[in-house]
Amino acid sequence: MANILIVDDSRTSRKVLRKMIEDAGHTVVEECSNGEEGYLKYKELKPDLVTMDITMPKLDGLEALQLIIKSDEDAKVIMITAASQKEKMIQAIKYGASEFIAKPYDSEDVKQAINKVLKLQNT
Amino acid sequence: MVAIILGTYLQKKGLLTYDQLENLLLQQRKVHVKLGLIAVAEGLMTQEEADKINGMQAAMDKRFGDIAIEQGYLTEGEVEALLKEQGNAYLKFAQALEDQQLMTVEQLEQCMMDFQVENQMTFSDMEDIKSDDVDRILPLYIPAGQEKYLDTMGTALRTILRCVDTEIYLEKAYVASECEGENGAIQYIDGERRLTYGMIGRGQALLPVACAFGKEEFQEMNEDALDAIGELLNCISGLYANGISRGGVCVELYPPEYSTDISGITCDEMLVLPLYIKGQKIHFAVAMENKIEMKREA
Repeated sequence: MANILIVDDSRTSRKVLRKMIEDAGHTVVEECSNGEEGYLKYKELKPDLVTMDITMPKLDGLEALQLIIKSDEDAKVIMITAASQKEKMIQAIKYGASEFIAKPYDSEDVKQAINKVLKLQNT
Repeated sequence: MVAIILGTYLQKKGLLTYDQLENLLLQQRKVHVKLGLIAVAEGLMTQEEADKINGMQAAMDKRFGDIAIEQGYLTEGEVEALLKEQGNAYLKFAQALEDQQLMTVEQLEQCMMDFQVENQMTFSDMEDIKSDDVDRILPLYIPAGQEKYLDTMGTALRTILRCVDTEIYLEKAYVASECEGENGAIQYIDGERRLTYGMIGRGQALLPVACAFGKEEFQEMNEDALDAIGELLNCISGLYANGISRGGVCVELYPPEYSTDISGITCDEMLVLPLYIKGQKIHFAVAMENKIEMKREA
């Protein structure tokens, strides 16, 4: 089971995602409400996985993803997107994102995405 | 949706109380529509004939359709067609009214004629209402000449029906430059297509939406509850952006903004759709090529 860091500016979104992650048997080590906080917490806690919202004020998800990957090239980051925006997804892949989850969340999609990334990590 | 539209009409006419309507909305989800009721609603039998067969059924182990064929009221083809109608939402509502002994299907049909005349609807419009299909119902509430809003408003309404409540009452949408409300959220979409979604209400009107979408018992419309409204807009915007991106249109979503301290929203031109969700009136707005702004309290 994994230690997961949630980065999302919406409290509602964090709460829904936390429940799904915990129901899947994982631990949420911390919740952050912007990219800057997410990057700093990643360096401090070194979680197995990060879920990162793309659309956030201040430092957005793509910028935070770049900083995290720069500090740890093995970091596993699942990007959360409210829309399948092709350009943002291409950029996120380029920067090293491991997987995508679309809002509104579906518990099965969340579980599958986490398992997929963790299996990649285990090999 | 058809149940709340027609049920609210009956309530406004004084034919149902609010409690009876609430109960009907719960009951109609689990009701089994009887073949006799459909036959009367379709005008193939009278109420008297259906009652006679119901009486005969009590004394013999036979299905309604078989007896109706034997008695010469219906043909085999008609019974087959009626059986296909048993999942129809309008008929479920009619059956729930009859089960609760509030109104017969014949009385309901009479009320529907009044509804049609009062709302200046055609027979085809009435079929759209009875279809319970949001894509057929929404155009009836959009003003003539404003069809450009159908796509954006359709995505919003379908998402609200899926994530908040399946029974939403609509009033006719209107074009405006201002809409009053005390709290709410907006989200701006920029790029190859620009639009803004907004949702506002007075007092605690948005609370049932926030609780249903956020899956949390908020006590008042505070920032946490508004965050849930913002997140609902984010999902609507995301689904809309997803749809147009399949057609090669690229857009960027800005984070939702919300406030507990506004006097309304303003825009050069927006379409405002009044919605009643769990008995509370709220306003849903869409602006195309225009940005909706929140009017802060002075």
